[in-house]
Amino acid sequence: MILKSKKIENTIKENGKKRQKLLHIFKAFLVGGSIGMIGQGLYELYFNVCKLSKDNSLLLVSLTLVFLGVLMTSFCIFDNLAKHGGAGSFIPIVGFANAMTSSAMEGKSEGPIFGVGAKIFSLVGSVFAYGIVATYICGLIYYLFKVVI
Amino acid sequence: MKSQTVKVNNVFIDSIGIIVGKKEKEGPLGKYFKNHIKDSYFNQSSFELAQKELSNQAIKLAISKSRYESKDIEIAFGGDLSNQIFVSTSSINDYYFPYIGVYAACASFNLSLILGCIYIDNQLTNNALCFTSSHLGVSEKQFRYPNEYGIQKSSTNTTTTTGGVAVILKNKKDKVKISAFSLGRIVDVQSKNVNDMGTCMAYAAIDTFKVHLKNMNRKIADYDKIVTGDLSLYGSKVFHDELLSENYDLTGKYDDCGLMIYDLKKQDVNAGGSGPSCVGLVTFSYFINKLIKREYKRILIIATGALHSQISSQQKQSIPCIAHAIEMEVNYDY
Repeated sequence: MILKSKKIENTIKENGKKRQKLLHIFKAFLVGGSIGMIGQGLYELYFNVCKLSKDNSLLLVSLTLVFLGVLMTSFCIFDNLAKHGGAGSFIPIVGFANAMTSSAMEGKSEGPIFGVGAKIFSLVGSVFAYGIVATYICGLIYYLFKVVI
Repeated sequence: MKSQTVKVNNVFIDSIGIIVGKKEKEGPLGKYFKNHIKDSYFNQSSFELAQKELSNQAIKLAISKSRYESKDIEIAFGGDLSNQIFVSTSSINDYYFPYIGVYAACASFNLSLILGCIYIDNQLTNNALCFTSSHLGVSEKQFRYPNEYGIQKSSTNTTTTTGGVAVILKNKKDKVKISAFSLGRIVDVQSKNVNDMGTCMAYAAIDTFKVHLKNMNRKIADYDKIVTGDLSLYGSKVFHDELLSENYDLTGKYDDCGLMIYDLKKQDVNAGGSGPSCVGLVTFSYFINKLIKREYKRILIIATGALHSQISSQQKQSIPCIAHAIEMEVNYDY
């Protein structure tokens, strides 16, 4: 049977609302900011100390962060960090690495083809799909502005 | 509805097998759990196999404590949260008894006990094995996100208990008996929030509770405890407050298994425990002990289940809920 009343609706809404918003924003800022700082530190290291080109340094920063994300996920550390970090930990590239690694780890018991290989994109698949669509649209707009006009 | 409630006269608890995970052992009821596993893999290669092992061990424990041997068990009922209840089905590979698989999400265990009662009370069998199991890793994988995925859980999320429970029912007199049960109706409050199942399940629990009291012609004073399965911090408040507004005062008489099994302040479990084994673990360790010692005379166990699937929730369909109640009491004739 379907139970419907204003009171029930309000209770569901009241119980389902997000709590401790301010605290979460603050923690996300701290965690996200720290990841950004580590990235900047890595850039300084590669650019100034290792004397690499700017492009190569930037590429290596992303690679290092992805590696750290994968490593932390496989040692079951990342989810504990993300519990506090929230958006601060999944917006930077480490979050992307975590989404792929965690899905792949989950698929391990189902074998290399239908498990790891197929499941690795279960969360990030839409990032790729819509990322490619978005680049097409951006490219089209760019073309119209720069070339035609 | 009158047909929802059935009185049973001849069903007794024979033996109990319980095994829990590490977190449950560390919880406030830890001393009631004699068997526990040290890590979530239980020496297996996947969480699913670990849950199968939990289920298997619980059944073995129940049979070893029972007056029956495994070849004397006449029927088995089991269910869990894994896809197509595969874990329950495969965990009794070694045995020869007939088996009925049940699914009522977190109310599966109560449903299997109810079916056991029907079989025994109608003299179809002399005994029945009822079992369930759940594993945090298996449920997370199936209903939520990958276990290691870094996501901030909502405060209304519950934590699936890791453990296995098996109970053997019989028609020979013993200390504790099942005196009645009420089957639930589907209650849908049009909630689509899978992160807060406690709230929508609470209305199913309220419905079954009122039906049971009315059909049995009982008052709250007739019970020592009213226990719900896994309504979480938020759902149990809805259950308590809604009933209070309808003049059912449960003050001091109400407990929720999901809130008892973990220490919500110290253990990181958000809104409490859930899962099909949650209600069984608490009822057949803590509450059964109270009944055996005759500290309680009669208790009502209401297990609730949210019967959604991963696809239905992605399609934004509302969550149908159900609650099955079992009344247990001390058998003073024994």
